[in-house]
Amino acid sequence: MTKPIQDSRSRPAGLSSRFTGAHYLRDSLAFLGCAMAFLAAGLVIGENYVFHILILICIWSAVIAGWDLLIGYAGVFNYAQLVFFAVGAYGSAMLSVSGGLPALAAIPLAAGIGGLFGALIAIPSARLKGEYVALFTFAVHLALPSILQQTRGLGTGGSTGILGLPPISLFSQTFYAIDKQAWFLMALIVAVICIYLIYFVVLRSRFGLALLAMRDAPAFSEALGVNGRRYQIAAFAISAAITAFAGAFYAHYTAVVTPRILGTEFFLMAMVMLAIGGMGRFPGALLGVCVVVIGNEVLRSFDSYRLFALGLIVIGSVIFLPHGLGGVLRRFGKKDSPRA
Amino acid sequence: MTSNHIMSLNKVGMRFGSFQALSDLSFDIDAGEVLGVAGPNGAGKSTLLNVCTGGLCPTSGSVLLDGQDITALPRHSRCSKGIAMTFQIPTVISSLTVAENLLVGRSFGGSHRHDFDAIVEIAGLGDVLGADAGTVDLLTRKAIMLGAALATGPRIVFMDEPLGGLNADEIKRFVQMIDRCRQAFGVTVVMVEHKTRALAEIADRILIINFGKFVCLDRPSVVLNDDHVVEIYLGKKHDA
Repeated sequence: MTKPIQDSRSRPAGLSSRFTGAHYLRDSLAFLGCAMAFLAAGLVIGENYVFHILILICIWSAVIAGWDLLIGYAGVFNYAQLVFFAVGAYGSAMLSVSGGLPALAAIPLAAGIGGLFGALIAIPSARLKGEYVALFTFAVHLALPSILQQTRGLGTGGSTGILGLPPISLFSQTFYAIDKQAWFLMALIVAVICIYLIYFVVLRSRFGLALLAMRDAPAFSEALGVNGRRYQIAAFAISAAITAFAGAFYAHYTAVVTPRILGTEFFLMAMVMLAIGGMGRFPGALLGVCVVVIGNEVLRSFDSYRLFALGLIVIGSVIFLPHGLGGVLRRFGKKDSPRA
Repeated sequence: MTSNHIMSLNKVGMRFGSFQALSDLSFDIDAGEVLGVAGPNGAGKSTLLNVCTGGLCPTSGSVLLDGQDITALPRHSRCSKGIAMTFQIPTVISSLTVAENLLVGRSFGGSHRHDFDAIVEIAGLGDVLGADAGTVDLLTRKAIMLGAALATGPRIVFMDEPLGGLNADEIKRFVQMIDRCRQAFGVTVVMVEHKTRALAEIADRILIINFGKFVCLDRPSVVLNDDHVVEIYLGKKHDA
């Protein structure tokens, strides 16, 4: 019997891939360039109403990026994403209003609580398959408003919610919600950090490779040594922490938290963003956020027909763009530069 | 136990509800051999493979690797100990490129690494490394499965019907591929296969099981001429 040939190279030439750092700098710079362009566009227009819409886009982007990580890339049908948003918002509200913490301390703490909550949901979910994960997580989403109403004694404020969240103070300066430009800058920084963490740190590493492998071929991946359960639970926790971070930030921006953030309209908006943008096709989901937030404002004059119009857009995008805007981008990208 | 045995099964039984899929199965796998596993449909061949690779935990008995009990270890932990497998249904990670499929094995497998270029050369994947794994043909899918399994740096590879669905020419090429893997990396191969002629050609020994029970384990020429084995496959010989 011949002696086995051992390969001591850390990375053979044929193995260059987006998971091992190929094109990493180029893509990061392109992303940061887009963020700078977004910033410049906002500052040039410089109008309070536009700032408000851009702030919403930033906050939603972080939420949808977190959801895309689970549904699109990990293939876990989690429908409790807005639960994580609510946990962040309520967590930060209770820490700052009842606990007296400054906003800058309450927000990261709330993100941590959200991450723990995500892991808590993930552990039973990892034992379930496909549609059962969807049923379980959606049940959590449906249960939370009643729990919030029953726990008024713990400081959740029942159905009225929590009022008077403190604004963010930084460098002995306090940013009230009226200072839209400052909030826009802060929201953009939050969004850039969250999106970068998900799409460039988590997904373009060994971790991302494990998630995609588990999504496409679970048994095969485990036979190749991937500890699937561990990676899926970690993805849940990261997604939940980032979404809770966005939720906490949102709560301090609006200064109010009510159980309405778990209502049907918010949930549908989030689903529509993912459907139009396309799951697991960066930057599709983020384009979906822009289209839906801006569309929602443009259609405001239609009043009660607004949701109807959004519904039509969804049907149209499902029929004509089955992979969302992300799928369209990919097709163009393939034509321009055939990437290996 | 002699050190020549890489893996040993000790009175392994597997029960699904009231159905006894494997009962009291004991045998050893020699290091470096190609062991064929055959038997009629429903004999328990795939169950046996899953018990060896961690897809199933047997309800009785034990599985030993180098004399160490690995009965309760899940699939991914066995992989890091040098046990790899390929599936009956050709599975690849379809949204990744062929190279990235091998990268999964290399990144998450055991600490030992077989030479990457040699794996690519033997599996014949050099021209398709950059292609999406979801778009390639059946033989290439099987080659990707084998390549990714080899990239984990295994000492023993279990294959569930690797030749299923291939035509005569493809069978010849794939058998050669398996043989070259053994030559280059010194891996032990255990393959479940219905195609007994191809099996007789490549296997050093053949194990026959029927109704989850051990029937015989010997050299191909002995096993395939055994009256009892012929009877299992073709029915009782008519007494003249």
